[in-house]
Amino acid sequence: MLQNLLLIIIFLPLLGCLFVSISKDESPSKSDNAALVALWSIVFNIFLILMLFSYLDLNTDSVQAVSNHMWQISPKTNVIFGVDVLSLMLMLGIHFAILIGILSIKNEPTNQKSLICFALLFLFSCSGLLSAVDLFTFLAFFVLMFIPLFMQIGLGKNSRIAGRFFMYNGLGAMMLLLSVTALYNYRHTSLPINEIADIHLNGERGIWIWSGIFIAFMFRIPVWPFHYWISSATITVRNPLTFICTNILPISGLFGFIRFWPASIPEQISSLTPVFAILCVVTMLYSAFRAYSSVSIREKLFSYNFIYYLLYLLGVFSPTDILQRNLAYSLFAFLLVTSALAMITFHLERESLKSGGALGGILCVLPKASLAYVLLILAAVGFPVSGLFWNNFIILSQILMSNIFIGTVAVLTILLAAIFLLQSLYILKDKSCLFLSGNNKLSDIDVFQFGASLMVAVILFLSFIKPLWFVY
Amino acid sequence: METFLCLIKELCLPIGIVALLFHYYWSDKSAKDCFSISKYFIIISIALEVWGYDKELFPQFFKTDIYNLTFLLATSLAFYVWLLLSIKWFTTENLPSCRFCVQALLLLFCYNKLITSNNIAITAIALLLIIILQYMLLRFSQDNEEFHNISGRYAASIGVFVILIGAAVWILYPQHLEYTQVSQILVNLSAPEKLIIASGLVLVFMFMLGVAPLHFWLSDTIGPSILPVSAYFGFVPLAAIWGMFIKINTILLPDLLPQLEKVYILCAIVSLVIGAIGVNTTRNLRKIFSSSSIYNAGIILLIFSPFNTQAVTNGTFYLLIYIIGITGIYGLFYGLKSNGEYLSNLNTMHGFFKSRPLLALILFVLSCSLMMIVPFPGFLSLWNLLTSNMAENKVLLSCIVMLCTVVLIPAFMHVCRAIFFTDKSTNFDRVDYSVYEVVLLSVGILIFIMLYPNKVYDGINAVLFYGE
Repeated sequence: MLQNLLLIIIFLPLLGCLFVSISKDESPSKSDNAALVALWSIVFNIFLILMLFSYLDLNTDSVQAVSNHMWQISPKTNVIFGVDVLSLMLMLGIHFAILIGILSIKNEPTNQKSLICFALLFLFSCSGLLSAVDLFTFLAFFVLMFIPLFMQIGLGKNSRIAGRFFMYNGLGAMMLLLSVTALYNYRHTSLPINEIADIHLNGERGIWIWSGIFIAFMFRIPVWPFHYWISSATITVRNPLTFICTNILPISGLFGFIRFWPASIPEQISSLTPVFAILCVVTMLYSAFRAYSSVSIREKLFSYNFIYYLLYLLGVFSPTDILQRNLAYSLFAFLLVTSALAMITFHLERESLKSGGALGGILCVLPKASLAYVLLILAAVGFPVSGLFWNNFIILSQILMSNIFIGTVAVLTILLAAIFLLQSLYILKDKSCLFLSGNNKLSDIDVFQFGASLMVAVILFLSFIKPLWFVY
Repeated sequence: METFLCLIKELCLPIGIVALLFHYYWSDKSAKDCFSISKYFIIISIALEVWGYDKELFPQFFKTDIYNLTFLLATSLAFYVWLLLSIKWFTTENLPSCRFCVQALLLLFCYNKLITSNNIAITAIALLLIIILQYMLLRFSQDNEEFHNISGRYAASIGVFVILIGAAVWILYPQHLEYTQVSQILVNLSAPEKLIIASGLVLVFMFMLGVAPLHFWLSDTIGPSILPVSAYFGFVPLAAIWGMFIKINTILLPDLLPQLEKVYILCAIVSLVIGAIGVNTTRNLRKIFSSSSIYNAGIILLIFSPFNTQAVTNGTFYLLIYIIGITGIYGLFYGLKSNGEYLSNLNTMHGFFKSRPLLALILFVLSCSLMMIVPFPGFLSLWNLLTSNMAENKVLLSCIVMLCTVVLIPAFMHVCRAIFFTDKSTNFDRVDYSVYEVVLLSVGILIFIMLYPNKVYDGINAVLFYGE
């Protein structure tokens, strides 16, 4: 029963995508039917995920609800799905994030249906990746993930950005595929990820294979010098749904590191951890200073995402698996906060165009957006009644424990991230910058978007009290 | 009675041609009737081939077995689908189709003889006839300005291959020309003679398949030709030519395979590179897919190149996936019509997803399969190819294949993006039911292969190595 439930959760967005693509709408610019189909399939899936949570044994970190399907005999290729608390938590977070994304493109003038269609395909691939138990399934969904996103990013005249996105992610996928095929030749059968450690790779070959895998993951996470695609994509995308999806993509790399690190990797690679960690903190610092000096609220939000992903990566690099639960809880809260913030940020940017593009003081005339934005910014900076606060505290303390220098820089960067987010709040609430002409034309966020923001705030508060408050 | 039926089996298609000519001279000249006559004769021919798969009137020249029957059926079905789709083009353009149908039946007859041939002279004659008939087919596009250049190059190539095949047959002529005996004779020949025979036999097939460096005619032909001619070169003869290519390599040239493998790998790599770059240099849909066919010819050749049991099965598996996918794509081309005009430029596809969501979705699925994106069936072959390469420590070859695939994918994604993310600017005409039938069938078969690859794989294995 559990296995079937998991399969339904994985494949329901794909079914939704098919229905969305053949749904008919009266107006070519509005796609209410498509949005409704998507919203209902995601809401139903969230309900199924919560149901699956209640059936899982939450006291264990092992993979549950495992279903094994043989796909091909020669070479023997199985597709194995299963979940643990970490993957299910991330799955839930991504579902919420895309739900918010779809709510936020309700007023998008063009291509709503295509965007929704590919967002659902992206959700399907995310769910598949997070429930992958073996190497082949992981590879399959890792590759599949960036195709719908590539389609979304190339919207409008963004072909160059899309090309760059493709180059980085395509090379990453290629490296993973080559490494996985090389690993396959050691067993000639499907290989569960947790059994990779049993394969004894000889010196040089082992290093090549593992380097391929780790570079593939690195391409997905915005670590210097692999970060260029995400910075150019997120700054230029024109709708919040694509922004949210783009910011979900690094989860695949992070999840890969969580699954492979530290149990499966050989000594030669794990000895490079300090190098990875230094790369991370340098990128974090650079990004924090850049966001501080920027006036664009979108760039600040992007840098916030950037910094937190690297913080989680530092948490993954710590030589222990005990942080897994905290990473899951924190990432869940992080996904909710950032997607809701993206929704409001894009709304504010769109509205600001009506009054000449100036954002200063805009929240003073938009009460609902103002309340939602304040709540979300406070949660994002780590206000001590949100789920983000407590788990980040544990992650930071673990990083400090493993390396005091890296930990101190990480804390400093988190502080800077909080400052530049509050700075954006200050700009948006600053009455002195307010252009009075044309402000009566500005429209506030609609009731659904406001409801979604409040829902995020409530969820974060409940998660602070008990991370798995929804399980009975 | 049985001999009579065997005779009918051999002469079914020529009788069809005579019937078409009678119809042309003594009846009205509607496009539909000519196609109906051709279709009926193809169906009868298929039925008779199935009935008499183990019966042959001239066993010294032709051989019928399960292998030949399978490729013969695949070719006949491809011709049937091609005619089914082409009827719409001739009806829309209001052009006479008798000459076209006669040539189609003649081509199918030649392909049937080529597939079943058991004698090198028959093979050579059938091949030359096919190449000449294909040249005649090209003449349907002679209104196009580019036609004279293309036909000139094609005609020059025919001349070269006539000389090569003639030389091969001339060397072998005083002795027996049956396949099994030719392979024994080859062992005792000198190296230059072997080279001439191998070149004569292999190069002509590589030319017809569009394998680099003999690919030069393919994209030039498919791009500017009329749609039925493009579709013909796109998918119709693939099964027959690859089927023969396998036979030539495994039956006639087994002793030369170690040397030929290196040549094949080199040609395959050049095809991959040219195909992958080619798809990114044009906005013409037909040219994109013709360049992708060069790339795919490279992939198939690479899979086949060792010509052992595993390689032949894997190659045929991908060949099946590719033929089904590309047939669906060409089927879709027949549905891309605005104000009675068939569209081929990417700029004219705007809003296709909004007007024809189902067809756009099918195009996406078929493209993903051709791009070898997981979990679509095309990926299975890439996966097979990479794992077998890795097992043989051919890491560099795997890297080249992957790099070319990464270069190829954006062009296809660009096509999909133009279809999905553009505002409606073109008014697309109603799509014929036959187009829906062909594309839905293609995508249905691909989904079946995606879900049950083992069943298809086992089936292919059983057909290829029946009785072994």
